[in-house]
Amino acid sequence: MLSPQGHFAERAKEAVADAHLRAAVRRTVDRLRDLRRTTEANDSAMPLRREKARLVREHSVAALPHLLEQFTQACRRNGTVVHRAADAAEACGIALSLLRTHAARRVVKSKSMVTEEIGLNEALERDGIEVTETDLGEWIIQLAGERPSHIILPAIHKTRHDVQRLFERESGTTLSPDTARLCAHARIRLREKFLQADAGISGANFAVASTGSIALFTNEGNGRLVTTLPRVHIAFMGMERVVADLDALASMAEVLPRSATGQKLTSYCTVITGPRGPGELDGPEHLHVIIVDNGRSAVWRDPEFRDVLRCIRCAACLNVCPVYAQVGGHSYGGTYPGPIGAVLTPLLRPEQRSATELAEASTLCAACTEACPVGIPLHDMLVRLRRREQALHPHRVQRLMLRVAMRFARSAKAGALPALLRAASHGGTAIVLRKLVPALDHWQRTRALPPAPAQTFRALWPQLAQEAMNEH
Amino acid sequence: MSTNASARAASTLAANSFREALLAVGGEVHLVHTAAEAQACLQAVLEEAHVRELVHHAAETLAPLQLSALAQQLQLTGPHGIGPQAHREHCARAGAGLTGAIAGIAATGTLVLAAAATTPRSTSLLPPLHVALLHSARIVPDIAAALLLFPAQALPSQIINITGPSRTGDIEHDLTTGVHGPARLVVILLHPESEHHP
Ligand code: SF4
Repeated sequence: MLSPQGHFAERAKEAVADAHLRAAVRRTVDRLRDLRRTTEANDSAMPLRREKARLVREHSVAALPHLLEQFTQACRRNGTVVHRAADAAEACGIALSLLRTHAARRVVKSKSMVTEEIGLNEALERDGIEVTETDLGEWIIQLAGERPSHIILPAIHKTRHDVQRLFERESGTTLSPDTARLCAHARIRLREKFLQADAGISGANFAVASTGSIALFTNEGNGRLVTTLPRVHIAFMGMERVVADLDALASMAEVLPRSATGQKLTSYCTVITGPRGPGELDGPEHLHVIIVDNGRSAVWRDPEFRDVLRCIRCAACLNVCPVYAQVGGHSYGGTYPGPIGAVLTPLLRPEQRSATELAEASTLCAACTEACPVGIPLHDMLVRLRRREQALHPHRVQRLMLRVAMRFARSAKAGALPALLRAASHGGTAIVLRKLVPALDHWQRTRALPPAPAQTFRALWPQLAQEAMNEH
Repeated sequence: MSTNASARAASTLAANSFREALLAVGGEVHLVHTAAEAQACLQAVLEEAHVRELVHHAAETLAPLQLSALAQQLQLTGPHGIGPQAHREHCARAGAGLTGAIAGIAATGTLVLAAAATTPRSTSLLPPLHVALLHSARIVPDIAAALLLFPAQALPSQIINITGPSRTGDIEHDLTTGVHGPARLVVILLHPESEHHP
């Protein structure tokens, strides 16, 4: 759910201290980044594909109200029932009443970020409905009672031994920590859930306005099972997911996996148009789409930030972000981590103080903007968010800076700084920094100091001043 | 080159591209040139995988394969004269599912299927092995072209594009197939010899 507990700094501190989590996240982002770069390097048309994707999403966002109207009408023609939800509570409420109407008590889900954003699982479980996440990574996270650490690979911080323990606890059997065996076990357990489920809940990677279709891209095939076996299918989509037509969808189908995992297409790319047709032996008898606003129309009305709605959730920006690589997904609190989360979460939840500080979680290196396949100027937006925060709460930031500076200046340590820094750059970084500012002890464990110059500026000044005088 | 010969050259190019792309994502491709070869290939694939029960799409979507020739060795279940519950049970226990692809995508090695009364979804989804027949003349360049094969105002309830076996890297990046969908995808690619071979 989009409600970060505590502050970014606290969560980040914990995450940075967790060496295992850091190593796992680091491995993941490096790997995904390299896969994307290899695919892009071997595809001379990639710049053109990205340009088309950018245009498709720019058009989608610009024409959003019109496309949503068109989508709704096309759905009416093909038998899909469309619902609009203004916020999280309404979206969950609609799903609950649909499940009640269809007497559905057991639900299988395929990966959907918007349902995490609205806290759907908690809402359904409160009502006594059994919800099973069926994406392997999401299931692992669900069994662990945790939250995803990466958009594409949510459970990547779990080792195979962690997974073995979780599966053993869930099934009461003894398993081997071999990945193939663990996957085979998941196949059997989750297949039972699929065959018993009354309803399937999915997200929607995209919706197609002209045809009233929704598209699901998955690799495991759970998206297909969710939309094939249960008698009811409920698809959730953020209101910005819509594109104009099938040609626009084709562009997305090519660019999203290339940017996410370096794949040319995901293993399964399903275009769903209405419920099961006459004479069909499988597929849901009822298909509902819930279009979720939850703060999006406010973002759409804001010319400075509207473009963020182009996002296709590929995670390319996470995989190049130096901050994300250090702190991992949990630190961002909300559903959306990394640079996109740092922009989107405070925009969707402006009333949440802990969300607005996410804009500080960036070095403004612009790697995210460069990676983004749909041309969202992420680092510009971070600057705009900071500026806005500064304008709204000028004292907060200044007070903080001032307090740090004053405390340091008053301490006797200030005078010893140059000598200490020189010592630090000669290898004693850890000890020296700890001595200098005890609070930095934790901070410096994960950082290296640049080498200090042999002579201080203060020592050099008389000579420099003389040279400057001579030049005139 | 005659028109026939250039069409043949184009479909050879398409078949090769399809084959390479599918191999790259872990699919298997058997290139055959005649109906008899296609039949023998299917038989060999099913035998080698020890398939006892085969679920399949309607026979008319599988020409020129002769399903009746398989009936002595294994149990065959098609979509005709069967209810939804029985269909599901058969698909859940069958060793393989056999489908006839509407099209293939050259750039990505993708099979294009669509849900209909004669071509249910579960056939290509529930069994651990998916065998598909594809005619080389039905290979299109990319997914945009594949989606144009369907009338936009009357799309099937599902268009299913399949690129390789079911896969996951969710546990320690260790690529594993078959976590939900078929662990193996075998395409019998029928590329007939032209009478006017260039
Ligand atoms: S902001 Fe751009 S790079 Fe980041 S997830 Fe969204 S589309 Fe991908």
